[in-house]
Amino acid sequence: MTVLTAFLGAVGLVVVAVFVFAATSCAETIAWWTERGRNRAAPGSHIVIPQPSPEPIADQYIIYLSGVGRNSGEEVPAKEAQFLDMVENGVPGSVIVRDIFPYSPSSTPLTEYRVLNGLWTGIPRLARRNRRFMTLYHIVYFRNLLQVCMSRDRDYGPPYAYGLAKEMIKGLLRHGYRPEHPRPVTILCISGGGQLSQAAAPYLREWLGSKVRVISVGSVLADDPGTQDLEEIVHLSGSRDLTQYAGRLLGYTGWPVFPGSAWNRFVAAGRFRSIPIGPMKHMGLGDYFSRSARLPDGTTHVQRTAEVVIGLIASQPGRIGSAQRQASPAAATGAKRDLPVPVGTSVSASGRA
Amino acid sequence: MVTPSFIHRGLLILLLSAASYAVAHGSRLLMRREGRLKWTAGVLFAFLAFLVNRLALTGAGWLIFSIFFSSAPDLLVLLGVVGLASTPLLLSFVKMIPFFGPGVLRILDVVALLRLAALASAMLGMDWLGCLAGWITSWLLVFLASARLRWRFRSARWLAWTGVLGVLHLSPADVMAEMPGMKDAVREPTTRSVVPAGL
Repeated sequence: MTVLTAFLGAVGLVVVAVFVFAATSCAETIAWWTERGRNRAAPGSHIVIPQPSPEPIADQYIIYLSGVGRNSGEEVPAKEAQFLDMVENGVPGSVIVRDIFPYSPSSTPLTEYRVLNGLWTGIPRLARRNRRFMTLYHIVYFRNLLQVCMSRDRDYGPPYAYGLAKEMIKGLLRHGYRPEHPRPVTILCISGGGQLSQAAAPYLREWLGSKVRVISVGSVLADDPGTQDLEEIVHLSGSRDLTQYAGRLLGYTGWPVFPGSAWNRFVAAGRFRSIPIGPMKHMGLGDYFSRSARLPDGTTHVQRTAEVVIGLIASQPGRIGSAQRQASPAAATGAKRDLPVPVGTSVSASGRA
Repeated sequence: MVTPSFIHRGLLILLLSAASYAVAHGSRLLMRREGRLKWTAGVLFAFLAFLVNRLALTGAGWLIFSIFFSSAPDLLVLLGVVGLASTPLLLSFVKMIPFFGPGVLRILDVVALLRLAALASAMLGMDWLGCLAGWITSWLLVFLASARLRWRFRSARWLAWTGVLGVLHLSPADVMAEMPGMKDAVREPTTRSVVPAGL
């Protein structure tokens, strides 16, 4: 009886902790939006465009939005980094912006300027010391998942998405994008990055002057009103990944019985494509970026995912120089990146003049 | 049947629910960047509005009970039922949590209604279905009255601090209008010497 009471007490405490954690998940956005966040770029701060540099700009830009397992933009897990390298090498002339932390409206890492700084820095440290502590990463997943949920919220969603879109623009500018030489922009996302890219779409469209395209690697997509501001969503779907359906199941307005919802109108317009990619899971061994798990034909999961993504990026409509350059999935494994387009080169509709 | 502790617990839950709702509303007003005066007024108003809403629901239930059964129920019993049903607390707490918005809230609304009906029927000795019908009717009356008011003041931005009337939520267009966009982007000051045009 005492054991049962203690167990129920512990369960109760966990439930209360989860609710309190969830209820305070909007604190960061409130603090940032009301300019109470220290050491962060204020929401009203201007975007600064760097001076033209002799460095050539790229043919096209890819913004990578990671899954909920990350705690900063700089720290990219090894298998994700390998996947991104494969894609970047496979599409000559492309640049991937991979240093955005999308689970903060100001892209502030979990390990900096936070009340719970010790918790977020302690989890990776413990996990490195002993793999059993990897389970603590679920706290990071849960925290980041709540931010994904918040981007759908009608109170906090628009400012959050504005902040995220601004960080994406700043990321593009850091990597050489210049508004006076517009280039196609694609968002490559996984897991929670899908919903975040939908939420940020209206602001990106306003700033870039055109709709962006989303390549979703098993992302969680939902019925976000911002979906209408995307050019298209190409979704890579693993047959062993059930998490990808969470957003569309939980957000009831995306169900087929609501044909007028933003998501269903988007699908009806043929702007959503789903590509079955094989028996891949959402995370863990056998996920989309797995280097050891293999498909029946012997290809590793990461190779297959990279090949499909490279094919999709290379076929990007309006891609500068796509006629001249040949995307090569084979080159994905280590070929050096081709030189991007020189600045000032005039561009015609069919390619580079 | 109605003990003081029962009523006390009901009132305590009612007050906690109202406080929780007021906190949630305070957060929304922060997102709207309302000034100190409007923020304070809004939080107090939300607290009172929540209580008034629950009392209005109770009143409507009382009225319907009287019409159906030709005798007035014990008001304390009704108050206790409204307060004791723990779902309002959960509902208002969930309102603080982002995203639990549309789907979960609607489900909890239905759960709250069923729970209230079951509690009321058990305590008042009423027919369960009749009780449910009474609650649904009273809920609809309150809902329609507030919807009518909200529609009347749908574009009154200056009333948004109330949380009941006027436009409360920021849309992407509102955010974009308030914040700088790409058109307002500035050039990084150059460190190189500037050569005057024409030279």
